[in-house]
Amino acid sequence: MAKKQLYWKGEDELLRTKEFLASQKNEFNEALPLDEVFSENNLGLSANRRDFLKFFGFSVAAVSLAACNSTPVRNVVPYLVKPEEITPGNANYYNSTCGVCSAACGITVKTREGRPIKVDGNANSPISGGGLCTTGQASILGLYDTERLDGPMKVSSGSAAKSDWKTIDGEIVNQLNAIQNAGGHIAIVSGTIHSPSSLSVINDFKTKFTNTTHITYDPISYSGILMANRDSFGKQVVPSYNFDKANIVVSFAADFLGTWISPVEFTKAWSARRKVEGADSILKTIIFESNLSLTGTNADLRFPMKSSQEAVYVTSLYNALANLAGQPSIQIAESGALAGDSIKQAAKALWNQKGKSMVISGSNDPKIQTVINGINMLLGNYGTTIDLDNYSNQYKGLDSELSAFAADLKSGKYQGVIFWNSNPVYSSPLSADIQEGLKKAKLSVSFSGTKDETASMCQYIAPDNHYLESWNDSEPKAGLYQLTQPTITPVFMTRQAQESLMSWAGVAVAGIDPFAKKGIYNQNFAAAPYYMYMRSKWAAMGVASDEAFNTALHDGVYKKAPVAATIPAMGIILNSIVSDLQKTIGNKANLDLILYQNVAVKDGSMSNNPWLQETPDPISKVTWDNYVSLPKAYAEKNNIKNGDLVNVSAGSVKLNAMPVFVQPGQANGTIGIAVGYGRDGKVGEKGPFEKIGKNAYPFMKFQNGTYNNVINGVTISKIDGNYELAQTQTHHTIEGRDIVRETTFEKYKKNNKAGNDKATPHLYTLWETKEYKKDGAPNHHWAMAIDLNSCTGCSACVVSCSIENNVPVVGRAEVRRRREMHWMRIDRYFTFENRSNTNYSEDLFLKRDFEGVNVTKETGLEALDAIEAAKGNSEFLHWENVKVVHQPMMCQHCGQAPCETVCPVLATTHSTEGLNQMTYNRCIGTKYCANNCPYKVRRFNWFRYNDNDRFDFHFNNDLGKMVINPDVTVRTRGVMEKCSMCVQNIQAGKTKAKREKRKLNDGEVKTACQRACPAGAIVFGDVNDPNSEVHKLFMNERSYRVLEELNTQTAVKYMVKVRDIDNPTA
Amino acid sequence: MIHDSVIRPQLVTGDKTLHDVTNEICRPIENKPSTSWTVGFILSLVFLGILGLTLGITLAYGIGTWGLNKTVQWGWDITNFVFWVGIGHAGTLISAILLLFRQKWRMSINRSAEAMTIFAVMCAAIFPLFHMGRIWVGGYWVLPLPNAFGSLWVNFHSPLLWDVFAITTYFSVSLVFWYLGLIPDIATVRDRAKTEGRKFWYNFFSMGWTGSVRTWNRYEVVSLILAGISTPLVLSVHTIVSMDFATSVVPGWHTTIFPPYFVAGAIFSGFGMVLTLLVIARKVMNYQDYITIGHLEAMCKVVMLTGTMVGLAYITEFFVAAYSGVEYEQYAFVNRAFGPYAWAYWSMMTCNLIAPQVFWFKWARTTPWFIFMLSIVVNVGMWFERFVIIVTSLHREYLPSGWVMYSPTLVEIGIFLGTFGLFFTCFFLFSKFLPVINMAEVKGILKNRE
Amino acid sequence: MIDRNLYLDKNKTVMFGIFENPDMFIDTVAKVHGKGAPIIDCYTPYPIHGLEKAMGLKRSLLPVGAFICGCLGFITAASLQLYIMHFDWPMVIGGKPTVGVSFVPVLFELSVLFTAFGLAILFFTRSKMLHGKIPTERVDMRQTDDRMVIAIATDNPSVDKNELTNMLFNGGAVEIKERTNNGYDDFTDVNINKGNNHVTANH
Repeated sequence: MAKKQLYWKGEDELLRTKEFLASQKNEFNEALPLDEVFSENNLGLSANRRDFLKFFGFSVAAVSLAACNSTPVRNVVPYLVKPEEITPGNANYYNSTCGVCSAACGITVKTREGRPIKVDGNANSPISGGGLCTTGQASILGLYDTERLDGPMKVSSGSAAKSDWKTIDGEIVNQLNAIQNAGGHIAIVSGTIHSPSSLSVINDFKTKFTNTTHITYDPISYSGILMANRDSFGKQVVPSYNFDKANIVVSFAADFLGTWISPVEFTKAWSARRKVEGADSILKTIIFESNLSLTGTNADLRFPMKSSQEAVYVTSLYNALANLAGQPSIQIAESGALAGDSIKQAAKALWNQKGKSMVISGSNDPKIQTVINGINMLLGNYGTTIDLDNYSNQYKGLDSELSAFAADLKSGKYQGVIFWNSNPVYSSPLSADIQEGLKKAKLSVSFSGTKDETASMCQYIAPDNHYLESWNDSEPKAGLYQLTQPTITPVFMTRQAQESLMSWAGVAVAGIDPFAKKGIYNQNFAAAPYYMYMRSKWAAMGVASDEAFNTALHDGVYKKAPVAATIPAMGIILNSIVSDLQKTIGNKANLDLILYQNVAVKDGSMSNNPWLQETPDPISKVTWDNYVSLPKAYAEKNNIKNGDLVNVSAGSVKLNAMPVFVQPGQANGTIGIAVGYGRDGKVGEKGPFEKIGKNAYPFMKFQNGTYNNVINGVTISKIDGNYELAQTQTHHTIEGRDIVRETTFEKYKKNNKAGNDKATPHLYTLWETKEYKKDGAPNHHWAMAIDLNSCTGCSACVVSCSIENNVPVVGRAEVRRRREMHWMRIDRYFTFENRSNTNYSEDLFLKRDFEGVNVTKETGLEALDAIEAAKGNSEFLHWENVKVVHQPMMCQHCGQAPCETVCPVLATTHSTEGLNQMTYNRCIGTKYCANNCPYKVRRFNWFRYNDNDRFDFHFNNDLGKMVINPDVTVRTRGVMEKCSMCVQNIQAGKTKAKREKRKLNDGEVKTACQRACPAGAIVFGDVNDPNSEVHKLFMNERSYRVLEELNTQTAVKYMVKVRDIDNPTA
Repeated sequence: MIHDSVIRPQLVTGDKTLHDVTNEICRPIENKPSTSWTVGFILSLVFLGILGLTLGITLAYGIGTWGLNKTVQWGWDITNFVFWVGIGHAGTLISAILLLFRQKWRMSINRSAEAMTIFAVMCAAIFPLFHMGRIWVGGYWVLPLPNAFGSLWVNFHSPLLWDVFAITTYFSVSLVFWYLGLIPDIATVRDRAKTEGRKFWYNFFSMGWTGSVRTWNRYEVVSLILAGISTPLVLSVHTIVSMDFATSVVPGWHTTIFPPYFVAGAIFSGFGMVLTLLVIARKVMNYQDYITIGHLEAMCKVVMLTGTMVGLAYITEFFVAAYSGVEYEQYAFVNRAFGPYAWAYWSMMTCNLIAPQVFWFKWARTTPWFIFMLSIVVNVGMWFERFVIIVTSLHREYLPSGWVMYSPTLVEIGIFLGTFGLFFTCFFLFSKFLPVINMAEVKGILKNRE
Repeated sequence: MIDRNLYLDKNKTVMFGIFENPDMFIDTVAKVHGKGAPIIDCYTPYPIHGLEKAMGLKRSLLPVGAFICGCLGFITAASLQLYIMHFDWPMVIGGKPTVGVSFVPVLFELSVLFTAFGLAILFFTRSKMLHGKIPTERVDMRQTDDRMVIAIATDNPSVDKNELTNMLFNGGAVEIKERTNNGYDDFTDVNINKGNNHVTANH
């Protein structure tokens, strides 16, 4: 009843009736919706009403914004009609779904004055669990990207010309009909789509144009898993991997913490199982891989593996387990010989955790994945840790479909082709065929929002909305639905792809469209029809009422009860695939190339995003380029050094003049190159359309029906010239300093202070230590605890911090000069394990004490290298076997801060709440504070980074500036800046609490890095409050301060890292 | 009356009458400039131009035009600052301390030494000013003025602020000292002046000096007191400069040995520069009779002494680091001597500790061209000392993740060269328009001619 | 001691002895002073030590002034720092107390600064020196070069001019001039042949 009235109220509002105008008078009579958005509790009727008003009022905002201009809003424009819930100065939050990759994390979008400025994970969503990856964080800039097309384009005789929707709609429909009538075929090539409504739109399109095929294609495909599961169990799906249910995971080059399938979800589950407090076991992680991946750096045990031999590894593991299970083993050449004891021991460890273990592989080869399935069957992991019934929809693309499509397009079978959220001309090894085929096609349309490689080859570009402008739903996992809602009116004259398809297929929208009816929406605001379409689909799904739908919209998530997981039957005899398996085994003598995804740039769909480009790779710390990651042994043998240039070639595919980075941990006999680079992008040192890095996709090798990222038999030739990679960290060992503390799980269980029991230094001070009191009573004392054991180094916090605090992007040249501005960085240190004299696989398992053999000093490493060289040992095993620690480092907010004392003008002082404050407009830039900072976290504005053509990133154009957080000053040239612990959020939180006449709750205020962290490694709060989470962590035996002996009394404490390496077979 | 000891050689040779002294010392002022002067002057003007250009670039684009980075945020700028301030110490030291010690040999060199002080401090001041990110506000925000809202003053805990006070005080007091010393000589020039212009200007600056004994009497008192307060001032200035480093937490900076060590270094470099200038000056203006080998020798002795002192300090630092047992401290010094900047460290050692030891030999102390060469070596060495202290300490600090290398850009180099332009421009003008030797004092130490 | 105003007073007569030899000059000055002749002032190109004694000049009080200036500087520095750091707007700076040893450098510097400038100012005022002032007491242009001048007030009845002249003569004066009371710059030479160093008394 209530809602009905409200509905009509909205109607009135649109109609500008007297009642509405009257109601305008008292629009402030209720508290701000912001107050409720995050209070998940009691979603009563009222909450619904507000939420309905929220998205409703948003549309009014949209009207008023759209009324100003269709180009970005530049000036402060007063609202013609003030949207009910937008109060200048207050942020609004909307739950939605991240549209970057098809992992589809649930997100919460923060908007200010109707302008999205920040994206964070939505805690309701099981996918994101409140965290978000670097790419997702940075995706918000895609909305304010100057490269976006501001309307439909028509390409005639090679040159693209602006057009309008009416024209191209007409022409496209005519073409489609022509093709249809001529019996020609039409292809819709899209990335994985798991939106039920979108899929049904495609079906409607198919019913209109009967010869339409929908080809799903993922640049980084999981066809291997899909096909393996089809062959093994008859289910062509990617299963759900429940890391939280496992005690041990053995991964073959599956970087599940970095880039594999759904990294945020997996990181969440993994880190939860790595909590040591009161645990009698933590999720032991063993990985076999060639490139040093993020997972590799966090694994308890990491074994370098020549990926072309992966089949041997997995089969030997299978056989080892088969022996234990008394099952027949797979007969394959040299099985077991190569992998050695590490596999046997791993098998033992897995066997001890039957049903609570998990074996995964990053290989895209169906046969290898089939063996993996076999292994998990042996271990009885199905139904427990691996769930095929509540499967994942996140990746559905079959490479075979693409290759078939490419062939057919080339042969001219497809006369019409529509590219949706896919860019095969760039990201497919079949680029050449597709380009050739596209010339033949009668009709080629791309929905791409920018003029990307594929779009620029098409006849029409019908730009899709950015996901923050779109309505959509998604089903990332069976039974888990998420909604995407617009948070701003389309910035340009774009139209949602579904809408385009609907209009071309002439799909009539069921139900009334209140917006369209009033003619408020011009064609460039296209959400409404698809919104109604989606509503009808959801109604069919059982979510009919506005109330129910709005609840789902408010939560961003709608779950159906999960199906009981069953244990499937393996429908394939493994020995029948031996021959195919054999095919995958490359020549051991040859060099392997392993293509991988960088944690930030990933598949390259957003490689023109300056934030991502400037985010250092967590392992190599290289920004702004991809490079050949080379093992030390090879580099030594061929006398190649960092920054040398090499030509890489595999058969016909060549990549010339690639810079080299000698990567510790790179398995001998393998090299790595990141995909996702070499795109046409505006962002770059030399200005427009300078390519960043080089495109490695063409190397992808078709084998056993899938595209494989492992290429055996590449050749490298060193060429003249040199190229300096822009690294943010160039010293890689910790020099044996007590900066990162770690211990092993067994030791920790015996003594919780293990690894942290170093005698605390005598801290003398000339005067009594400052206590944070306000008129006697303890005042806030803001502090932060960072758990090195949870932190995976994924760098999401780095990007999040940059967005929240308007940290400028400085570009490749400046990073080379070591002037990146990141307030938060992640220090990465290598520990080289000296076992040049022993069989490493043996002692890895049998050695109880690692400290004895660790090399943490550069000098020690050089000595080791010398020994190796003297022995004529070209293996350099100590380079191949590195331990890695990640340490997030930001301003430590020292209680006795060295930086404060030395500032002549009091530009940096201490707050009464324990914050080390920076007063930008007082700073004169003597830089003494930075010199005197032991943690080197202060950043200086060497140039003016905004409105400066020499730094032509988003701060240099009005559109990009819309992402600026209005609560944070944009710093001018010549001032120092640093982490403020997001003081703007602290103040907002305090004000809110004050307005509600209550105490600030613990965890109510979160810093940007904390919000982003999928692992929950960062905890912020008031250490003076004895019940606060951070206080407990400060009391925790694992907590310590970095450089405590300086008696800086930092407000940031770190928690000792714990590795589970003591009894590998447990 | 003047009572010269029998043993002590004459301070001014060649039986001058009072009038000779006046004539000879006023000659360069009253005659047309010599070619060597003109050439030198033009050359210095060129370098002054470079200074203007490079500072212009810095102002236009930002400190980013220098080679500094997130870890090494002081480089050549502060190196050059300390270098010039150090040079600026000899002048006041010679006139003040030597006056207190009644060292009469100072008399023919203190004028130019003081001038050198003032010009050197001017050059030095450029660097702390321009190394500021926002000189346009920093220029006056470092003074004890409240900010717009009256809440923010300056921070008296900050060594940089002590610097502001120390340098300004030192500069202005030196200026007063120098000008007081000049007045009688300006009067002399005034009374010899032919042209109206000269009459006017020298009269203007002579402040109606007549040589009244009453005034002389007060004048003596004043110079004595000024000398008295300048002596601790000289020492305090470089002490405070050294505190910019000593009070920090940076390994390699954080040492209590710095004040004496820096002062010794300052005297060392100051005398080095004085020697460089005087050896040229006495040749160019043929003042051999006034600036005798005796003078040079005396200064060489000081150079040798102070050189050895700084050398001792270098070695002591290592001992302290080793003895402290602090790994960061220890690494800082190992890194100095054997790290990537070892070349700088060893050139410093060679120039400052080893080279001056040749002054044990009389020949070395009494051969002008050799003294000149060595004075250059000393200047180079002292520049390297500052570079070593600042850069090698910063570039590898506590957290290895922040370790970097630093190298200057052309702009930085240009500014440094430019300051030499400024320095010599001032010096050439000084030698053209003012008596470079204190006539009044020299007259006082002529032997009786009766 | 008669003060210099006598010199500036047109109506007084003044006798000048101009010397070239510092030692003889000192002796003569001492003699003249011993005779009790009112010496107005002496003018020398450089500070001749012992001359002030010969003239019987009193010790200057400038040191006292200097000390006072110094104290003033100290107080200024102290109050400035205390007010700024402690009273006006105390802040937490590196957890340090608002008042501390870090005040010492500025205390010292300001004391020195005030001393130096105060002293200079006192000196100039006391000696009536000013930029661009036309020097008044200039008998001989070379008194800043190589000549020493003694000025004696002669209109005092107790002074015997002849005796004085001889005294200067024999003391080695190269010139003796007298200013009669008809005009400021009107000097009349006493009976000696000008410029002649070897004076012969002619009674």
